[in-house]
Amino acid sequence: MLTVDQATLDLLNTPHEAMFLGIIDADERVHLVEASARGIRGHSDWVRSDPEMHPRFGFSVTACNGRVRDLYRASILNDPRNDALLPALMVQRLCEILPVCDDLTVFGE
Amino acid sequence: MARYTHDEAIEILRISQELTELARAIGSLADDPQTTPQEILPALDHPGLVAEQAAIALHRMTQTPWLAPRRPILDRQFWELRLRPEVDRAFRDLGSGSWLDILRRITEQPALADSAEQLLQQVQWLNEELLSLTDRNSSGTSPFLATVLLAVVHAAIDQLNDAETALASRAAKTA
Repeated sequence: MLTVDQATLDLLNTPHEAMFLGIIDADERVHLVEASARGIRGHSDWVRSDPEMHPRFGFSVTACNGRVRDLYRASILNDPRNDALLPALMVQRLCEILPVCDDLTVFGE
Repeated sequence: MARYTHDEAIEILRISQELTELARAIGSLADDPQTTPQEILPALDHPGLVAEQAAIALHRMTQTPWLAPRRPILDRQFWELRLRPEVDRAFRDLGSGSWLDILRRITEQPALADSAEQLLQQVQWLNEELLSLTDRNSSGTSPFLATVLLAVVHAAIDQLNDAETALASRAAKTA
């Protein structure tokens, strides 16, 4: 079962639209970081800068005022044999625990 | 937010510096069956997430193997070579598989054997800079072999970087 803590959800409360990188770790915890923050511009940078992170899957979202507008399934952290897409079941679970807009766009479908 | 139209996405890749716009543009293009690999190329000039998304799309569209899991090829020079018609034909003739499979099949082809031998020699020069390797390579080797060489060199440099990072991490822990 995926979990996400409140501090992570609070990151999405930006007054302007922002891009966030996401990782689902081996314990099915969801981690987010704003892209370009702390010099992390992509999943490669993030994994390189945090060797303790054990990613299972990657994804990205855009969000504004606490709501996710776009979800990107493709990530270099996902299996290339599956076109590097976040599995559909994980997309469904993410949409259950993240505050998503009614008109959410999912890229990679 | 809605997706961009094909033309809007191409224009945004050309002019925008806004990360959310660029990501939406590359996402829209990657999902559009009309998109050609050449239209994705400009996204590789943007750092981080946008280039990663572009590389994933290019690998999928051209059935080109990744260097390794989590290691797509982000280098625009590689993709410009890879998309040349003669290189594309050579890849189709060789069939899919890992880079190692492709190298093995190259060495089995008499017409390419000498060049393949050169290729293998060049790969052994991995203590030299990537740029000087590719410059030297581009003057005397076919575009197809240059493409393969670039991929192999990137893979080796990735491995060296990983080894350096692991060593630095171990040194930090013992300090």
